[in-house]
Amino acid sequence: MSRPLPSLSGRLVAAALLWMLALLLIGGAVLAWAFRDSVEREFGQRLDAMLRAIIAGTEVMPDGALVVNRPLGDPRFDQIYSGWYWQVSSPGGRLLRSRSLWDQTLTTMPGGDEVFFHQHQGPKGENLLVAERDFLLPDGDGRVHVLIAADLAEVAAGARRFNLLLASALGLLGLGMAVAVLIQVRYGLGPLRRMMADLDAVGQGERPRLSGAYPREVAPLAAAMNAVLDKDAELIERARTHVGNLAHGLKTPLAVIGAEMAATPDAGVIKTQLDAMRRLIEHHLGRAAAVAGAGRNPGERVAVAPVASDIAAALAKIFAERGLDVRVTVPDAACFHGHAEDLAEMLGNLMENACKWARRRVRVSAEGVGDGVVIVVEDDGPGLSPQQAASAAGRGKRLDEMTEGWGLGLSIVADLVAVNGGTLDFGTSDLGGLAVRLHLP
Amino acid sequence: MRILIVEDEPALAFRLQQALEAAGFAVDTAYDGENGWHLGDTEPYDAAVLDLGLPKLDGISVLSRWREAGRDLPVLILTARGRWSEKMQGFNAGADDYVTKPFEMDEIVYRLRALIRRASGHSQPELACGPVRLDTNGGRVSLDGQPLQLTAQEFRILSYLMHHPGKVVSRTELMEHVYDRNFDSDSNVLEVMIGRLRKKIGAEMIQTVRGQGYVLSAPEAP
Repeated sequence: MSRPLPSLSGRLVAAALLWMLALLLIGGAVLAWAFRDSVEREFGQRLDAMLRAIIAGTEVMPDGALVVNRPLGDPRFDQIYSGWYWQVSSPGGRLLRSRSLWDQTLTTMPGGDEVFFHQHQGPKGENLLVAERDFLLPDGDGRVHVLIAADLAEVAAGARRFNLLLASALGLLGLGMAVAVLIQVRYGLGPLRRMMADLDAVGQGERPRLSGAYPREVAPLAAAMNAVLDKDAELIERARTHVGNLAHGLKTPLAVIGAEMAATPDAGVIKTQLDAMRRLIEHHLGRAAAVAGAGRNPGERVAVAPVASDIAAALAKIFAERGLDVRVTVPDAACFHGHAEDLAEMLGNLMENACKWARRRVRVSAEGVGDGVVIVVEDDGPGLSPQQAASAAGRGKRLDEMTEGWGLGLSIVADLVAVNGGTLDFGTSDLGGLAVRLHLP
Repeated sequence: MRILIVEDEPALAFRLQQALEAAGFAVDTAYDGENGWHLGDTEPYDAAVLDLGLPKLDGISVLSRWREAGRDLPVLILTARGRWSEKMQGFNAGADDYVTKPFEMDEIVYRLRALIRRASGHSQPELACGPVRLDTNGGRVSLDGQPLQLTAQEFRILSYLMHHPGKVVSRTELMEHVYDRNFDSDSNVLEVMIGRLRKKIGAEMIQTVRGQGYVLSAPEAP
């Protein structure tokens, strides 16, 4: 037996979930990046606009001093270290800055006429987005450098909020899809599971073959399985017939030899061997029939009462000389689930044995227990000693070897009881003899 | 008493016939079902030994046909088929007893004697008529408690009469039940046998009813 492969549902679910997870992760990453990018771009545009406003308000006084008229209205430029700063510097070393910068100076990058964006650490260690450029004043003294900076925390917070939302939305989506996959796999693999249950039932002997309709993809498998099962049943049946024919065929020559023997004196050894052959044939014939007959045509229900009555009538004829009182009290509802032949064989052997040992009376009673039936066969003969009964219950099939007169009957009964999943108990009857209790599920 | 054996195995049929004749029966043998059925249907046998697996017509069908036609002779089925379902089939078809092969010859004889005795309405194994007693189990006859030596033919005649005491048995009936079908019934051997029997058990035991037959009865106590 090789190592079992992971289940089909496991494979399907795992493949679907892995693929889904990868897609969701990639999708999430792309979305998050796109969002942050667009927010940053918009933030940059705001800074650019503010930069233009500062440039527009910058003038050179007659005394050569640099002023920024109409400073930006945003109050955050006036709060110290608020994260929003501007700074204007002239080549002459003059420096103007927002109040929020207080006494700090932001390092400037050598720039051109184009706005240049970059990130930089602020006075508080905050992550700043900086926009800076040079410009020429109309009557000024050369190139003036202007810079504006804002804390990126605002952008980061927005992105975080978005990411959180995105993650939960994608998570929910993933969960929903996973459930869908599970349902799909379960539903899709339903016929396979049904087939497995069917096969189980076949294995338990509850059904001879796979029944029911299967979808197109599985139907050939079921059909092939059924063909194998049918073939199997046919082979068993043929083997059984073979054994039966062989054994029955042997019986007549044996009878002939036996009859010849009776006419010949001094045939002791041959007669012993003949008897041994006889017993062997009976034994194997009974066993083959018992085992091969098991579990076929399951679902068959056989009423116990008519079988018991028929056997009682037959036994009344067989034991006519003894004038036995064989009484059968079996309710009509008592049923055996299995072969009528098996029931007849078990009941027949037990009742015949009871008749052999009985002084006058044999009683057969039964009652339904749950889905099965309990049949009790009693006689008023010598019965079993407690030791015999105990070892009979313990060892089952050995009983015939220790109790004279049981012959092969009991071992056949024991085989049939085992094959039909029943139990056999021995006790003492209130009639005085043996009580055999047969429980068949 | 006359028995029909229906058995397709010649050696077995021969031994059976031998044993049954030794036990005091007149025996006819058929080797296939059709012939067996025909004999049982037309001849007045006291019992039949019937195999089940027969050529031409199986034993169960033979038995069913006899019973449907009202032939109520006791039938002992002798077969290799020993399962109870098979036995029940046999009994349901109207069998009176069932013995599975291989078997003991003595058992067949014992069972046939019991079947015949019960079929003629006797429940006890010992039949008595006046001083004459017939132990059907052992096939022995005694007179006043002393064993009586009889030839096979004498035994068969007395046995048949003992089974039907007080009844007038016609010559034909007696011939049919005492001799097998190969016997030449025109001879007057029956009268000779009756005469010998009368000498052995007492002339008054077997009365001749003129034009009708014989009747066995205990003589009136003097």
